[in-house]
Amino acid sequence: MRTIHRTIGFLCLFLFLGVTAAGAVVIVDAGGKRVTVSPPYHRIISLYGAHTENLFSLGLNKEIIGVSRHEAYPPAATRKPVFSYHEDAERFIAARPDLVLVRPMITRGYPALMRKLRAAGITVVSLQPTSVDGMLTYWKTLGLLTGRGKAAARMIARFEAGIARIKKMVAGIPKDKRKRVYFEAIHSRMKTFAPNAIAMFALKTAGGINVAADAKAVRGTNIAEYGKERILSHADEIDVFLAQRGAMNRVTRRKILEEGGFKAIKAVREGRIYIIDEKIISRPTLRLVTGIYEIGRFLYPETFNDVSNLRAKKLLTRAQFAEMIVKVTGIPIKTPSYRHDILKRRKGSHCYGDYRDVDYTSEASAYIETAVARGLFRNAGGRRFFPLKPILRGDVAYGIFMKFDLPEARPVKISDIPEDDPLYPQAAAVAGLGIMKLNQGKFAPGRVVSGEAAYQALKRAVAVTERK
Amino acid sequence: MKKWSFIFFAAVVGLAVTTTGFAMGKLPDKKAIVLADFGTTYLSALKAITTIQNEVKKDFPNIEVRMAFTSNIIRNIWHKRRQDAAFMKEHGKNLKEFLSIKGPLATIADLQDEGYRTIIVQPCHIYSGEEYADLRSYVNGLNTIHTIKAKYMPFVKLAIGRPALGTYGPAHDYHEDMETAAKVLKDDVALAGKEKAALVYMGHGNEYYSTGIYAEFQQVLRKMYPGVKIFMGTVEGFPSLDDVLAGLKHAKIRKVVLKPFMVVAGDHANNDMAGDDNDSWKNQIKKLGIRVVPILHGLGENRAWARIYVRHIKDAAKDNGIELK
Repeated sequence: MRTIHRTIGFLCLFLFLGVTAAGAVVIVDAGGKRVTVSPPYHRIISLYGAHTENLFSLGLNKEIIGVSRHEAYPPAATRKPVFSYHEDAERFIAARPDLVLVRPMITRGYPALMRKLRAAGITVVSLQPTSVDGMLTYWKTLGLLTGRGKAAARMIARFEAGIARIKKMVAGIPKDKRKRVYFEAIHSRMKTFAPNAIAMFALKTAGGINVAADAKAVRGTNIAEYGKERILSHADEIDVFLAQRGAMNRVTRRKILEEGGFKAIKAVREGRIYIIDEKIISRPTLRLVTGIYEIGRFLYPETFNDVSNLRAKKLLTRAQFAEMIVKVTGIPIKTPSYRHDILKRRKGSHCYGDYRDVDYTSEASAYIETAVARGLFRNAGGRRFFPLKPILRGDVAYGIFMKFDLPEARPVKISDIPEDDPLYPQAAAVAGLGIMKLNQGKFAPGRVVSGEAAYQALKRAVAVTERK
Repeated sequence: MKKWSFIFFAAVVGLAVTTTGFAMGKLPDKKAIVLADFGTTYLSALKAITTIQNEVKKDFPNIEVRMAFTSNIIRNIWHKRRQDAAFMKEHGKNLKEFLSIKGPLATIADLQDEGYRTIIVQPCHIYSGEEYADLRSYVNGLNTIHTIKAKYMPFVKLAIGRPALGTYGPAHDYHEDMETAAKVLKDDVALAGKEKAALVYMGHGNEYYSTGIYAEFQQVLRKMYPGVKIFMGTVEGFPSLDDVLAGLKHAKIRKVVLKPFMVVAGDHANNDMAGDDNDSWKNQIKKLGIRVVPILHGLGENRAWARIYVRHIKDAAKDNGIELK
């Protein structure tokens, strides 16, 4: 019998102990259980959104035969059959999976289901890293289980490159300008994150200083008790109040603003309250980079919302305009909500990530989806976005009209847009306020726009609205 | 919730029976008003509720007036605030009543226990829809209690007032209620007039009841205020946002004042109506090239609207031979 000893990176939760049969490996999963696995697996059911997302990131799709209930990312996950740990083992067994990926919460809560699946010969592996080092090891474990070791290495490289890029941006921010942040995990119980939680790694990487660094983790979780009194004891130090939003924390900006005693907090008084989707800051997936960048945009907008590269473009594309309007006007990045939210949307209207001509893993995709979710693009309801086509003056006028609640404009006459076209009043409002110019009564809605021209129009719109 | 309602109902019945069973001599007969509303946790939205409350208290200074919230979640959030030292320090005194707010059944039971045996329950609802039907069912349920001895009846009178736009039946013509409500909205119409805009109201509606009354009320408003174009839509039911959009297109509207046709400006007003998402009412209207001025105030904040409920309490008193002094 051939013995292979594989050591996977950092020794965290998933320690590979050895191989017992040809190709079979013994691993210790997140629950401390020794599991003999025989990779690669080809029929996988994932019962945790992060596992699903990572499997897709490894390049798998047809191998994923089932996902958990609320999954909405990546877009392809919404088209997979749904499985729940509340269901009978028979339903799982009937689908003939060779691997079921779970997390400790499930193994603890549903031991009978775990037992039955294993008895049916199905490999069940429980994984959930709680630190960033653990996350990289976990990606390698997924790579090993699915025979995608190289893809896992590419994921790690991509993550590290993203982090390096952000670190470089943060390095330019003087130490005395760094923002002190309270990062809320659960509003109703006034909990924050444990100092070594992934979310705190995100905050630190984005250049934020955690004011609750003395918080102690609750029973080995990534959540930490803090309490209102202790938050208020830092009231004057908190420059930014950041809160994760998710199933555990259905918080709103208004809730934080109106919380008893919170007026004492500097960030609340100054309106620097930001909400971020837990799925991009607490989950061990590649989107963590997006989450970190997003925190950077909240803390240091001058650095993270800088668009000088786009301003230099002689001809701005639709994708670039999406990025510009999102950055210049500080719109928080859109993340898909849960599966049921997406599916209930009206038939025919665009659902997150379903543009055939936009790679959902690209950075551009996040800006496009954000701008579209805000209704800033005309006729964006189809399956194509045409990201590389140039943005036209009519599109810019439309985007500005939609983004801003513009004040009363000087009446103008436009000769090259039909009066019954909704664009007529939109362009007229934008032109009447001097945000975009008319040339002898012509708006030229079909003309292309340079980066600088689009930028100046957006800046003028911001100024006009602020004056109001 | 149904199960809990039943347990509550059973508890109230039990309480009533116990009270009467052990009563010695004549039961006291004090009078009270219960104002029932869905409720809100937002302090900024509470003004709508306190305005109604203050108007009612002003007219009935000697009558006990209690608020009841029908939403379990909202009541729980208020109760939890009692343990919050910072909240108590800031609002404990002013908002005392809300910190121990109860549902309508418990509020009625408490009052009965304290000797209030003539009670008028006044819903702060817009129209006779699902919530009003449920509340009415609670009251009807309690009114089926018949003790062996008449003198031990838990209530001398337990009556319910009608919603702002009235209810079915010949006792109070709902057309007249609509006329009154339409008159009360004159400031909104005036604002739209000043802005040279159409007025669009976003009502709540309901998917389990016909919401035709919104369309009917739209006609009443249009007849009363021919100088301003008025559109009424609902989040759930008819007329829908699509109907409103079709109307705006048809009338070639270029600007609208958009206001919730709801007592409280809560999540619906902030998200569904004036939210930043593509599918909010504001953005769907703007897509047509129409400028939008969103107004985030609930109807309850309008004193004249609050007076409608005062009048309906008076009507319920008169109909039931209750003297509110």
